[in-house]
Amino acid sequence: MIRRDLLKFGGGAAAGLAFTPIPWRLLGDTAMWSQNWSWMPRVPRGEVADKDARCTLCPAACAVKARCAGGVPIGLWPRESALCPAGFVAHHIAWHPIRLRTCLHRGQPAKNEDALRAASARLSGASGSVAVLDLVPGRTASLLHRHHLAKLGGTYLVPPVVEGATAAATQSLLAQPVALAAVLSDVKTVLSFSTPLLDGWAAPGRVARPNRQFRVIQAEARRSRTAGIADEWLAIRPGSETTLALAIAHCLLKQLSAPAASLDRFAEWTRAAEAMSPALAAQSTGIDPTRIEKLAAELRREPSLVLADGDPVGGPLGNELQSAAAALNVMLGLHGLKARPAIPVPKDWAGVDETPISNAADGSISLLIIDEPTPGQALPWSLIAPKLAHDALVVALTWNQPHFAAQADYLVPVPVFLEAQQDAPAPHDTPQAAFSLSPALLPAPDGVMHASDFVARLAGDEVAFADRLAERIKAIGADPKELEAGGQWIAPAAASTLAARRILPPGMTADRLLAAAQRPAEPLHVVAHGWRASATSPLLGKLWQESALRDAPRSASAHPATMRNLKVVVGRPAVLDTPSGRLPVNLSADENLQEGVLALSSGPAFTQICQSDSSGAWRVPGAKVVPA
Amino acid sequence: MTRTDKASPAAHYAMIIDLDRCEGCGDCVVACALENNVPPPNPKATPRTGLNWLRVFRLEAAGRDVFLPMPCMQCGEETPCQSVCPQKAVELDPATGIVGQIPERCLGCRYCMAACPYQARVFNWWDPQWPAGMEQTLNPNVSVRQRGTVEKCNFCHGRWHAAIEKAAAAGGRGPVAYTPACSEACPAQAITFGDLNNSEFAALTNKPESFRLLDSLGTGPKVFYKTASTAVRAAVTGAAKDTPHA
Repeated sequence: MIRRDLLKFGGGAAAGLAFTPIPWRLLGDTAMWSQNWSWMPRVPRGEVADKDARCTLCPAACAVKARCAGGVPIGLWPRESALCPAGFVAHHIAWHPIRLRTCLHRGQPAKNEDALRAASARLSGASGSVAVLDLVPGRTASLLHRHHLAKLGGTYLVPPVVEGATAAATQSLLAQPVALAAVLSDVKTVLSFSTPLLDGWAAPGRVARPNRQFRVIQAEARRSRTAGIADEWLAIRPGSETTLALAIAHCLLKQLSAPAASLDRFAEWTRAAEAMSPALAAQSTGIDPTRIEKLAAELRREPSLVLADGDPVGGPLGNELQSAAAALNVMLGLHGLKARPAIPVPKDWAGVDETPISNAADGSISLLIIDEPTPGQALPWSLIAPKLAHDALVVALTWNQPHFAAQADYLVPVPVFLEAQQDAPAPHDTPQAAFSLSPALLPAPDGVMHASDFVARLAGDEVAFADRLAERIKAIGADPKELEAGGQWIAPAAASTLAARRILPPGMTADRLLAAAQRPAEPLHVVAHGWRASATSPLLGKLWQESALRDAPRSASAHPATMRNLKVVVGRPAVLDTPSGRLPVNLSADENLQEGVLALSSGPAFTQICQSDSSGAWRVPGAKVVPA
Repeated sequence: MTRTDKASPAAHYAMIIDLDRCEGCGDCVVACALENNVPPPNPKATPRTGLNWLRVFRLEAAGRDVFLPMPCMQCGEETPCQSVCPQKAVELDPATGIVGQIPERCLGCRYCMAACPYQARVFNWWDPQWPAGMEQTLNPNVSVRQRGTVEKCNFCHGRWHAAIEKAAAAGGRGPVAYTPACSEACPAQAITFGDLNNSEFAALTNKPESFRLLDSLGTGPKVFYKTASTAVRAAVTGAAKDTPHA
């Protein structure tokens, strides 16, 4: 063998190697080996088992199976009915990146005791008063806040009612005011004014298509998710909803039954309705007069319900529209509205009454405690700020860091869903007064403090919330073990016969209604909307960041003609410039929108720029869009 | 290769999606991600680069919004992705009829994505990351995939495995009944899952209102759609034709 033969052999072997499985096998094996790097997350180990539980992130209190691996929940699945997307990932909230885990004082780490000491000092030397602002009223913790505030001589504040606003407005018209629930299964047609009826307003199991036995007519300025899947979408001009309600009443007056005419304040309501003929209303609403007449006839023909509840982020729609919707419900026979019995409360838990935050006196609060236990309803700071004394101390007992970071002196972390037993407020779409508990499946991190315990300690009450909850369960007469295992206590049904005494609430006049109906349109009308559950888990970004199923936070859309008028271009950075502040937005074109309308999906950022108008609706006056 | 060339499958899993019921709530998308350990969106992700095994598109037809959920169609004949994969990382399981994606073999060449007429495959552009501590909530039955691989719906193969193990432990053999996450999650019961060897279920796919996307390609998709509205059907089939290939 010569050297040349050796080289030929080597070269041939190297070339031949490429035609053998070896390199492919190497490639495949390399791919397999490279799957297990140290930075790749490892899946948990342990026995997988289901535990029955309840999701208490919203009043629906849906029954869930908590699938656990080694005792840690790895997913929530529907047990009896259905869940919303946030329900599936509600257990993620404990690890959410914005979760507050340690007490902060103006952004610096502090201790819960520091916040307690500062609050106590303010109480002892205060010239004003203490108030608790409860962002999720109706829970056991809410009752305890009221009880403790009675000892402290404080005020219990609640945000404006959004979901359930129509039922609340109707409640004030009854001969014997009782808590009302809107029961959709009792009606054949629902006329909804900008209410996200099919998108979070009701429990998904009650409004999903196979169970939905009623027609939905959605009167809304934008093609919302509810408008898109409703049986009919009335593309109404924004701000003209009261006009449409009065025009429908105008048509209904012609066929009125005798009992409605005998109600208190009927003359006032008639004066407003008669002034708004369908032809006149058509000019403001953009809806054909014959369609308005036909709509009134449809509502009259079969059991119908009118809803004007508003959006949990966009806010309430205003007292005038809510009153008009309630008056229409009275005219239509109060279908779909039922009395809800109260859930028992321990006898010695007497407390102060609820005060809507708008009714609190300006500059009257020297210590404000905000209770925000879950991702919930938005509340503009512009509603809170005027109520504070100039040197007021603000303590936010909250699950998340950013929401009140700029305004609160102290941020105190609270246990989140599945870290402590919690109950949910009664749902607004079922007549059953139900009581449910979410179990404590996860250990709460060190340093969290239940909001109720914080207020209790200020009031000198050393009984922990868990013990108080047990007292409530005993008062109700429910079996604690059944509740812990995902059961639900349901109060015996109350009589559902309702009788109205008046058709308009005190203070609501025909002039106010007509003024709301004839309010001049803004040059750029901002219609805000949002999904209150969007902050539950980062995984929900699948629905707006990795797909276009939902509108992303801080996105805005307008008709192409509006965008031309505003001199802004789709895809270029833009800013929504308002007298209250600036909000960067991503713009897109939407031909379904009317000219002069900007649909804003903002998330909590909206609360920084909106203002509550004289009717209680949240608006963004004087807004314009400018290139960034 | 046609279906008759293969060994007779023990099961022939398929899905029927009722477009008249789907209201685009997104439950299926979230449940799918939760079940299959699909990570939360990377900050740079977009609808084009996102990692959704099941995507839901919104169309307008018959005066309303129509939602089109699109998982992998589980093609049963001339499976395009399988035939182009140089790594044999795509396998049509004769025991189930499910087109499996084996991430350990995948080199990320994305031939399969180019070949898929339904754009049902997604590329994993980023290392999977969960917020600190949230790894504890991963599904132990599904492995986490590395970046640089292609992913797709596999009819919740982890659930099928669990069902097989449970049946075997009880002494059972052969096809098992199970429900994928999307079907379990749907509040409108718009997603029905079953075995085409079951005559009752197969009859549902043969109804006049049932159809498959791009049926003329002859790929034998095992995801069927159903609507009583011709306008909805025209919009959906038209949209599928218009969908640009990756």
